[in-house]
Amino acid sequence: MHIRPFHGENIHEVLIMGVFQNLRKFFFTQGKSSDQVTAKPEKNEKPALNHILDQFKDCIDFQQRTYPNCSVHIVYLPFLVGPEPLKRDIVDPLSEATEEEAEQIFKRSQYKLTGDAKECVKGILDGQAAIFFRDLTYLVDISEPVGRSISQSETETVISGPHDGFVENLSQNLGVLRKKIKSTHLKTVKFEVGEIAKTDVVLAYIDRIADQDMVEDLKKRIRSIEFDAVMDSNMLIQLIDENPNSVFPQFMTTERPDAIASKLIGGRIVGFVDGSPSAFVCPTNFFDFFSSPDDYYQRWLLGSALRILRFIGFLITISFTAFYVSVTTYHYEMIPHTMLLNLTESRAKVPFPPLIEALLMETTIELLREAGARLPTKVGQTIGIVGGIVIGQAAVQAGFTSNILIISVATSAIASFTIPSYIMSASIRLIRFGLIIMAGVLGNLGLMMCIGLVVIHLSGVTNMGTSYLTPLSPMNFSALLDTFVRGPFWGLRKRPSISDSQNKSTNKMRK
Amino acid sequence: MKVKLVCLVLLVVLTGCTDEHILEKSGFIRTIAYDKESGEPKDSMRVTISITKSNHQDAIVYSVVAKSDKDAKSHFDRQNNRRLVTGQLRQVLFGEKLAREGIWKHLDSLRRDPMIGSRMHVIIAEEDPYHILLRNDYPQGPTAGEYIDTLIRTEAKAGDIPDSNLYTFSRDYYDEGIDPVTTIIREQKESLIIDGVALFKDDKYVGKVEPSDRMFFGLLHHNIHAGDLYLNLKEDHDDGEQASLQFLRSRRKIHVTSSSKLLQGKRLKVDMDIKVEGSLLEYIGELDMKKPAEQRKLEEEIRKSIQTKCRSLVRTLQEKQTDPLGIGQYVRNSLPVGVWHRLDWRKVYADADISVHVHVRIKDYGKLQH
Repeated sequence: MHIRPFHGENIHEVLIMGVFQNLRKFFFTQGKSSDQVTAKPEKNEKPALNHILDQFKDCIDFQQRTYPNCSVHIVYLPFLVGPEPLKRDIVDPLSEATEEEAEQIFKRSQYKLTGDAKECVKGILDGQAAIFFRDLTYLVDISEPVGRSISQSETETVISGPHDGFVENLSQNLGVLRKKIKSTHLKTVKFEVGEIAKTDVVLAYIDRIADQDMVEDLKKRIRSIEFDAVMDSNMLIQLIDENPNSVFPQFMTTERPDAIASKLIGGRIVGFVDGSPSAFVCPTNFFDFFSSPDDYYQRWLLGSALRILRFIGFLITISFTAFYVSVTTYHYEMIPHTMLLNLTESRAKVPFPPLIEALLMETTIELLREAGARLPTKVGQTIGIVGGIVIGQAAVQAGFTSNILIISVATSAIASFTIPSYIMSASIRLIRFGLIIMAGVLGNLGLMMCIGLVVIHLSGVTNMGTSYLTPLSPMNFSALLDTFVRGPFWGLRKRPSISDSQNKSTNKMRK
Repeated sequence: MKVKLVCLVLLVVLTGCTDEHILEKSGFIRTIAYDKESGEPKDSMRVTISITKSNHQDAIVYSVVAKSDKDAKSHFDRQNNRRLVTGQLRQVLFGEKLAREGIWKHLDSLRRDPMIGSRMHVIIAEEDPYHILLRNDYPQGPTAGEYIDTLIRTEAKAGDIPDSNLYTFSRDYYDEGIDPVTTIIREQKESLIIDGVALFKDDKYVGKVEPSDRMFFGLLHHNIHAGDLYLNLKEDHDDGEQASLQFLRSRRKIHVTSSSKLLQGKRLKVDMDIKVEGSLLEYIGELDMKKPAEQRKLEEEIRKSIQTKCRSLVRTLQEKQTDPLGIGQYVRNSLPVGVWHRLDWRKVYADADISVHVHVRIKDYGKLQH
């Protein structure tokens, strides 16, 4: 596995153009980032074998090897290292070497001399081997990436377009990103988050397209996180967003490299968390959660139609069942007469008022969904079928609900799954309950009040200082072309207004 | 703060519980009929309501002789196990006797009910509306209400009869210079039939347009988009020449040619231009329709025939002093406001010289040429 390092000086791909103008900024940024990365207390004492052994006391996965023939001590964490590199860099050269030969061996480039005990410990934790030879300490990287190889994302699937998805390994993910965007303008900054776990977090942005103030702001926020361990990027974004109590997710997360790459080019900042297959994007607006990379791979008319369909799905999800409740409870005059009679007949057997009926069915369908998500895939399908038939068919026959409610509950559940972002879709399903209750209490008035409250809340949410409803408020007409519809590429000449880029028009890096 | 929040929530939540109309607990009145019977005391009337049952086939019909709507409503409520609601009211029928005394009193109370839609049909029933509703053995539709609804809807779409609903009736009632019209239905052995157009003077039923004349009334009353017109051209001859115009389109224009010195008793002059065009699909007669020249001849005959009919129709309307065509509106527009208000419009209208000019064009003689 070829792992791309993420420090600026090791980038192979150099865009000839632009490199000179950016040289100063490049070094500036890079220098700054390395400042942060190595922002350690102070240089410690030299690493000593006993000190290291003491540090790794009571770790069964810690191993020490001694080669008496050349008086070399080696310590490493065997579950992190690969047998191949171990054989190549440790076993083969050292098994039969004399002390003089060993001295020559350690001059090879893969053995790095270190004089810092902390660095040494960290190296071991990262899967390197520490070699104690005379009074010198070398680190050699013999790690093997832990985790799966790049495969298709299971939560976000597309029909056309690339099928690769991010994996848990941070360096693999950055490698994928580098392959997508071959530019020296793509900058990466590394942080360590979590008091104990010390998870690697990397921010990536495209220099001179992303708003620098926003980048600095985000850096500040990540550095000020105080939390023991961050396990996933969906967890990290909750620690850095501005409205932690809002039901809506404010930083979009996605597992798709192509989505991340296009957001980067649009001037957004993305972040990776080691151990998490999803990357986060900021700033995002509410409407970003409704667009899928698929939209851009279809013809624009089709892409637009699909996107409009998703917004219709959103409306259906939040209001269909609520509308049923309000109409059957208060506004019978809105129902066409023929349908009214069927509805009355079906409702006549139901012992509950419409509000209770609807809440019962909505809870049931949420139970089904949750059971499906928790169970293994194959059992989950069975549950789905059994639940669908039993609840759909039998509930109506038993006079438990009316059949129109079944239709409405099922339709709104299906519609909620058209939203590409799972987290957004879950949030929307939750606010639906509020709408149903208000519809049952105040009818259409309550429904409209609730929708009004949602809109008020949405307009109040901010994301990296930008409004959550950005192309609508503040209104930006050119950005609207890529919001409710997916405009043709000849129309998409401007970067999204939300990213506040200094290079507003696409295809032009230089002013 | 918390107390305030709780109060606010309670305030919002508790206000809702009173105005519930849960479906299965409501009885939806589909049709109301008002009528006067000869034997009854003067100030009472018979009110009938019809509620369609949820099996679509039957209707529950309640009828009572009452002094007012409210009186009748309370009587029905005492009988029905579900709360009676008016939000699904689709048509209101007035018996002829009641209609001659004026129907606005009843319509106004319906109009003020926000539950009732303004597209509810207003219909005059020539005979007993109670019996129309009571019957539910019409082969055309399961219940009388649904049957009437679809019947009026399809006919009005063809342009034969004006689409007379609560909205048009109240609009024309309140508007100066136009009188409302409604549809008349009559009960037959096997069906209900549209029996012409009811003419109103204010809200009083004063006369009707015969069903055979309803198309000519349509031409005078509004623009027709797709109608059929059947003409018997030479009624006095035995070898009756007949033509039928289909897919008929018409445009009417009203010009007030002389409206000066109306207060001094000068006669009002109004010209009505009606342009008619349609496909001639059926023709029985001596002319050869394949020749354009002969088509022109037929156009002229049709023109004369329509014109005569229309003129006599307008004459009848003038005699009855009712102005459903809205000529008054055109006159009002051509006069200063003060003059219009001082004018005795009914009298001026009855004396007016209204001439009808018809222009006919035969678009084609069928879509095929042979």
